[in-house]
Amino acid sequence: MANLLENAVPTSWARRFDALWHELRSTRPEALTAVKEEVARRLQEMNVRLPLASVITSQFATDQWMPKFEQILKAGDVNDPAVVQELNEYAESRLGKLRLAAEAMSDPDDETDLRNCLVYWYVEAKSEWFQFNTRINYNLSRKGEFDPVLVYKAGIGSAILADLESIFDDHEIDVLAEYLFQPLPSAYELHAARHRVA
Amino acid sequence: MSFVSTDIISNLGSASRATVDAADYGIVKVDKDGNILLYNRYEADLAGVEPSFAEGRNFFTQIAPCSNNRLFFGKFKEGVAGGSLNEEFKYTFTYKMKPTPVDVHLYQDAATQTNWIFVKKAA
Repeated sequence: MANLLENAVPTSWARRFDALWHELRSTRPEALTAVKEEVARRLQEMNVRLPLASVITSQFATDQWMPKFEQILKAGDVNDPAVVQELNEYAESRLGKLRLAAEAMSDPDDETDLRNCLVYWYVEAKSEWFQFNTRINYNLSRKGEFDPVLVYKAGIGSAILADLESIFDDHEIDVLAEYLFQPLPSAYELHAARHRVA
Repeated sequence: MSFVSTDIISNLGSASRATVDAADYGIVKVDKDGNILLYNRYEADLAGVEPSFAEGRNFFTQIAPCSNNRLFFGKFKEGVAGGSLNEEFKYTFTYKMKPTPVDVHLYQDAATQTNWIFVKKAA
């Protein structure tokens, strides 16, 4: 592993890293965290940026996320097997979309389109979260009801969103937040601005 | 009956950072548009957002977008516009935190013309 890193060439290194990562996951899962930290440290020293697709694949791998979800559900005392299964399937479907995009656009030259897909995913996921959140609080306000499936889907969705934000810069997040706060008025404003300029 | 102590309500204009940080509920001071002027320790710990990050940002669009609906932000806007904000209700926060049921008290202090959002984890 040390030799691999020291002789790294950025583009081919990422593919070799992926192969090594998969091998470690199946043979020595307990070593993954230490390896990841060492890799990150070496990359920083070498000033190498991992391809975006590799970042997405490793950051949103199921084995990275399952412990986090288990923590969220444990904290809420969610232990009905049917509810846990539904929430796991929801989480996996959200993560799966990110990984599929990274898989389809894995070449460094695809990064512009991959980033666009991540923006679309972010808008979709945050829009869904807004819908969940509004339903949760209307159910609570009007009927005094608390739906654990809906509430924990919102929590899980929001945790994944928070992690994806590390891919964007603060200004991009602020701009998207402003748009999603009032999407239709924001779209009208953009439409009006474009037609004025034209 | 609000969870906010009469001590705090009576001294909103002069409450020090140390006093608000000692409270066992969230205290957020905002302007009429929801921009955060003060964000106390309890709220920072509840939301996982440091006061230095929150202060200067908008509560409703940036820090707690889960409040973006008529039940929360709508009540705030109506109350501020009418000059008589004083609403208490139950709510559930889910943004970047484990789903947390809370009690909320929105309040406008007539004496200092300031707007406040108080939040406490529901029992």
